[in-house]
Amino acid sequence: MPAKYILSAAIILCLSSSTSLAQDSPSLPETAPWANNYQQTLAEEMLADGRILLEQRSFADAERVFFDALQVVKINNGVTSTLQLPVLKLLIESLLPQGKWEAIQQYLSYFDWLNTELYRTNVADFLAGTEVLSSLYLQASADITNPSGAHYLVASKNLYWNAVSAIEGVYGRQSNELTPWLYRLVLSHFYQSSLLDRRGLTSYDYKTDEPAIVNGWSLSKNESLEKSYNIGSELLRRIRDIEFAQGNHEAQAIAWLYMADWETTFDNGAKALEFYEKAHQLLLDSGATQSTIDALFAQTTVLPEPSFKPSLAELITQPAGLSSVKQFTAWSENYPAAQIPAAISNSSITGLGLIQAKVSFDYNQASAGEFDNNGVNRNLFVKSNITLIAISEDIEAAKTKALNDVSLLHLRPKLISGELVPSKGITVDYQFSRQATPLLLSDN
Amino acid sequence: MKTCQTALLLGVALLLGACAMEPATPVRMPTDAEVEQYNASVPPEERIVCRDEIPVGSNIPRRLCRRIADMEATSTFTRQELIRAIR
Repeated sequence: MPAKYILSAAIILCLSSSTSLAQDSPSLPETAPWANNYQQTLAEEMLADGRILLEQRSFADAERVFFDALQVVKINNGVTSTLQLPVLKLLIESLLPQGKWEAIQQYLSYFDWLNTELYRTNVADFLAGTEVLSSLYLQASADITNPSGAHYLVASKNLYWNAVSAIEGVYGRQSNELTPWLYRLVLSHFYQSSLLDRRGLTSYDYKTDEPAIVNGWSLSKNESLEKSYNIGSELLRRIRDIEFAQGNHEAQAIAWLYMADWETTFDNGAKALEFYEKAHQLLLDSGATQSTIDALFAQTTVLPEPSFKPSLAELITQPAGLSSVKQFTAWSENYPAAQIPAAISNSSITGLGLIQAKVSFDYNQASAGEFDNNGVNRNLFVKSNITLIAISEDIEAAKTKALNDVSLLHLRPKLISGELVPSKGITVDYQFSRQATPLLLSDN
Repeated sequence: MKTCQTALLLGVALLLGACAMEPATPVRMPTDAEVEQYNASVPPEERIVCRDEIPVGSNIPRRLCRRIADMEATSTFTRQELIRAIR
């Protein structure tokens, strides 16, 4: 143990520190008392140091400090102490940028085991721990250097399902506690379908959270996409029914809006339009004014929304009449059309700096003559005239990537009084991480 | 007229026969979301997979669910039998 910590811990002990270990991570409540005040202060001092090192991107040093802090907690409170969870979170966050996947997997499994122990004592704490753990799995899945990103995505999705099962068991199948978890599952299926859409990827990875390849039951890409679409639709219908059962008419109308968004995401234009019209009518019935609804549909919204927002006030982020540029930060090269999930901090993406590209395009209803290979005009909304206006780095690969990625974005169509109208000259300020594109790093 | 009656009776008999072949109370197969929720809660060897399959002799897809472990066992058995037959 470095002498520096022993000395500083002694000083802090005298000053009686006011912060607690668990407070640094608000979603992980303190679940057990510390057995030793002196050691508590020592661990807190180490965590503070580690956090500074994380901000300075000295990940190896931060890892060492968090590892020591974990030992302090273990020695004083026992290996089953849930006081380890906030330390484990920071330790894993220091390992992720270093790509130490073996160690990451080991600590994630340990976190999972501790969190499962919590389920026996306190479901609310179990859910808080699950939220943190699943966000760590998501971060791991988004890293382009991760050789088994899909495995982490499926593991995160399974954690959401475990949370849903726990809530159903304790609070019932109609509890509105379920809504955020069901929506996280919907997003997981969007990420999964993004991965499947990428060429050159085999499909078996997405069917299991086991690292080993399972033979004999792989689904085709189309079958997997269809399953993701079906599950997303089913879960959104559940959210709608839960809101209806709770008597939340505005939230129920918004669930219809999200169902329409889901159809847009999967290029089912005709069905999307039908659901948008239903959402529009239900919003009017719930007491919203026409101008408020128009303001909702006038703003440029990239789909899917990062969380379920049950009120119009939360959904409308752009003041009416203002034609502002839409800011969009891509989460990862693995998921170029996805926004950073609500549970993941922006700093983990922006750490290496962002490339900014301003791209404009028109977003219109496809003409009647545009049909897919099956002779069906599924995609009623199409982008055209995609133009790069400006880019922060004059690199050809970055320009191509920006144009390609923006073409992948799904947008909510513009409706005025419930009628679809063309949108011309939409401008998106598309930002993506330099780390996401090794090609760009080598270009420099 | 008599031919028409016979044809009608035959048609009704066939329809009733077809109905009789269906189970009295059709079992509702789990949805994709239900399967995924179940699979998240059990060890890998107990997981199931459900898909719409078109059975031999029909054009109507039916949803069938199987345990993955059973599918793997059948697959291994078939492979072994094939190798045995080739030798």
